[in-house]
Amino acid sequence: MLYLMTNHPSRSTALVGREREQKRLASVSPRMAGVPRGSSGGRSAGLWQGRGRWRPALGALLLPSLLLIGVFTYYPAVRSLIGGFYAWNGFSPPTYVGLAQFNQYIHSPTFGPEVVHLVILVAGSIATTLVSQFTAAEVVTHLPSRVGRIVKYVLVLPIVFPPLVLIEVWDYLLEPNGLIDRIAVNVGLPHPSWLSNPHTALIGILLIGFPWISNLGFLIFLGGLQNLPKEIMDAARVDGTGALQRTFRIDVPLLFPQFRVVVILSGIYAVQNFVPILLLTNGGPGTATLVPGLDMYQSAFQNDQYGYGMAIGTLLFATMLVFTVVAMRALRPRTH
Amino acid sequence: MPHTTKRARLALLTSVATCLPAIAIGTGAVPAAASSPTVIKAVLPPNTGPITASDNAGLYQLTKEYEKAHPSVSVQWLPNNTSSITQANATVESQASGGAAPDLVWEQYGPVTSGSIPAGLLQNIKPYLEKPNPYVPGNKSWLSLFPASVIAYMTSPNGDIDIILGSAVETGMFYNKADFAKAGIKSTPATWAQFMADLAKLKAAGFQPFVFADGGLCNPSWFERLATSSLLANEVPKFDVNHAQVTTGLDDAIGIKKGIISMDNPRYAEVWKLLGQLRQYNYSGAATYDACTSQTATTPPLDSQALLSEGKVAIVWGGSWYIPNLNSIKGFAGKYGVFPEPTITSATTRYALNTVTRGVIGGPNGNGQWGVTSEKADHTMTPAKTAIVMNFLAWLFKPANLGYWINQSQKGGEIPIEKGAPVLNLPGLRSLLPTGKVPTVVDVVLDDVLTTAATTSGLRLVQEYMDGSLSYSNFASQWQSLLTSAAAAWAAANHVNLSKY
Repeated sequence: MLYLMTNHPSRSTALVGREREQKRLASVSPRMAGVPRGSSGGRSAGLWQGRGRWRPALGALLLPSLLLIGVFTYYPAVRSLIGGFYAWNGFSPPTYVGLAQFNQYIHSPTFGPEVVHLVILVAGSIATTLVSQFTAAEVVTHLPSRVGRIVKYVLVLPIVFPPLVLIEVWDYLLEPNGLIDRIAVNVGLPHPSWLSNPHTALIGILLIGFPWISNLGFLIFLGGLQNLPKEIMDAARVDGTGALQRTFRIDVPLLFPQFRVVVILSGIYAVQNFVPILLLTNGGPGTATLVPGLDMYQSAFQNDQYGYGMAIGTLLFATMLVFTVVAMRALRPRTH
Repeated sequence: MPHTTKRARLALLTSVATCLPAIAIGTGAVPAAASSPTVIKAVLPPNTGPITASDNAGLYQLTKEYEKAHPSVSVQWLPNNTSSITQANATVESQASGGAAPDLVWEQYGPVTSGSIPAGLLQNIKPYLEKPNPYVPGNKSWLSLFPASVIAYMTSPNGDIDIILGSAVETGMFYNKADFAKAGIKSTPATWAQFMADLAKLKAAGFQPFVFADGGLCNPSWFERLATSSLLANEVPKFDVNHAQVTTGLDDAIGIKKGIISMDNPRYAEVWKLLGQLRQYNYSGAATYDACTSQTATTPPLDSQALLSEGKVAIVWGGSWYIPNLNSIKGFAGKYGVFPEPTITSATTRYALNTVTRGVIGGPNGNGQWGVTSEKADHTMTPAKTAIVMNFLAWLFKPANLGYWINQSQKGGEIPIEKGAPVLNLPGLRSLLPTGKVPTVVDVVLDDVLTTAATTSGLRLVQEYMDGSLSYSNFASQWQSLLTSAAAAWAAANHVNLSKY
């Protein structure tokens, strides 16, 4: 019964209504109705006019942005890809070494631990993001409107805080004899030195941001849930569908595009965001929290091995590219 | 159509005009203001805040006096927020790669004289030091104001002097007197065996005996210096070709190649076995602390002095810079004591040579350590500007001035080096000063002597060893690999063929 809802007449009705609205808008303003260029509707809003001519004014206005993006985004990225093939200490002339630095990194004693830590952090980050942020979005969506609005603002507000503030707070909580340890002692629980214990340091890093709600993923899920077709929600309610059933049978399938975006963004963020590790543990104790991003940073900016750092960066880029492609294919939307 | 073309031209001109100033500034085509004074950019000592902070009041006053006497010169002091010399060197090398390094950079003698810093980054200032200091009447040369032992620290193997040194620190073990009394320890340990026995007594009495704070380099590097200099004292002549006070990168690379600085050499391996004995007495949060970090640090590594003053550990390793800090803590002055690092004797190991290592760890490592950057590292540097920078340094290093601003800044925790400079002589400091000749300091991995990468990796290995993640055998294997690769990397960076040694 629930799956037939995707072909429910009310959905067809919604589509017809949308076409009528488009035609109405077209009669007022073709541009608003999205009328294709060159049609009898009027002037094009795009860069190219009909018959191969382009609008130089728009092109000229785009020029500064393109230049800045080219210089400050694409050039450093391309330079970094090439730089991995050169040994360079940042001061003396670079020396071409081919794949030597890539091999050096892959065969380094810390490569294995770094990969393991990265997998744990990426998996943990994705899991906590999906569970906590989707759950929070679900709850907020179905709260009474006034309460929901207040809760939404309370949950979203921490996004604007500087990340360093969050890190400092968690340092206070997790440091030896920090607040968490003092509470644990008072209630008789174990109190590991979270960040200086090699067995708990990575867990401590994962804990940062608990309950992991105030982030972009929450907003993405919230927007998706609030834009689900009302007809389907009404039909589910009429059918007596429970909240859990509705969540897993309707909301999750319809939000697959959002899940895909959040998974990819969370994964990329987990790979790139080594700042908490840099500030709280510096990859330690020992190599307990060492990750490729931190190794890349320290190789370049601490050890003056810029070429080696760029080689690590290139490998990370390739890995994230593969991850993104796999995630895009694996999390294709299941509904039409 | 013409209307569109005209509008397009206007848009194009506007966008190009927007970009032009940025291009002009970026290429330096914007002409400089006429008749601007010479601006000296100098890096302040670490953990002292900006030039207007109280720690820098003396330096600030002297700078203003100099600027008043030299209206064409302006000094811009840059705060030093780096937490270690490793970080500081990384910063200056990054800046130098763009030709934007400051004129005066904070340095330490180890990386400068060892060959760890890229050649050509700092200038040889010996020609200036061989002339009289213009602010010291009657001196024959500026160098003559420094003790011969300090000149040895300043001099690179090729005879150049790329660093000037202003003050010395001494180091030792700071202990809680009440904890010692309750544990029944009546006198401070003079030997390593006595030290280990006292740690056991403290543990038995229920105290946390010691913290080997390895969140930063200070503790690991002091131990490496102490134990290696002590146990290898009779083998130093076999690999010391530079005969400097501190072994250089070349000396160490030769020592590694010859298998003297090697985990296969039981004498060298003993260094790390001794370190392992400290594990059972170590504070469990040690990796979060560093002995040399700023007292105001809020993210790790935190300051290990607090562990002593808050009664969390009975003994911390530290330096003379601790003395003013601990004395300023309300109610703590007089409740702590300090003793020199214990001597490793045959009561501890059969490889001991009973080498007295007082002064091995400390030395001219206090404030007032600067190098002058080269034209390649600092595009504003010229021979004329170098002369101005050295003149400013000569003013700061007039002995009376040096003593004034060092004492004002460090309150006696650091000892001005130059002859005739006033010294505060804090209580407790005298016990840390070397009483005789300081043996050759064998500094290998943990002080940026070979490569910074080796120092970073070495610190991680020591952390894993101290927290029990690595057994001794695993540590030994990885440390040996590190020694070998670091020596090869040093030789490659300095274009040295080790096969001829």
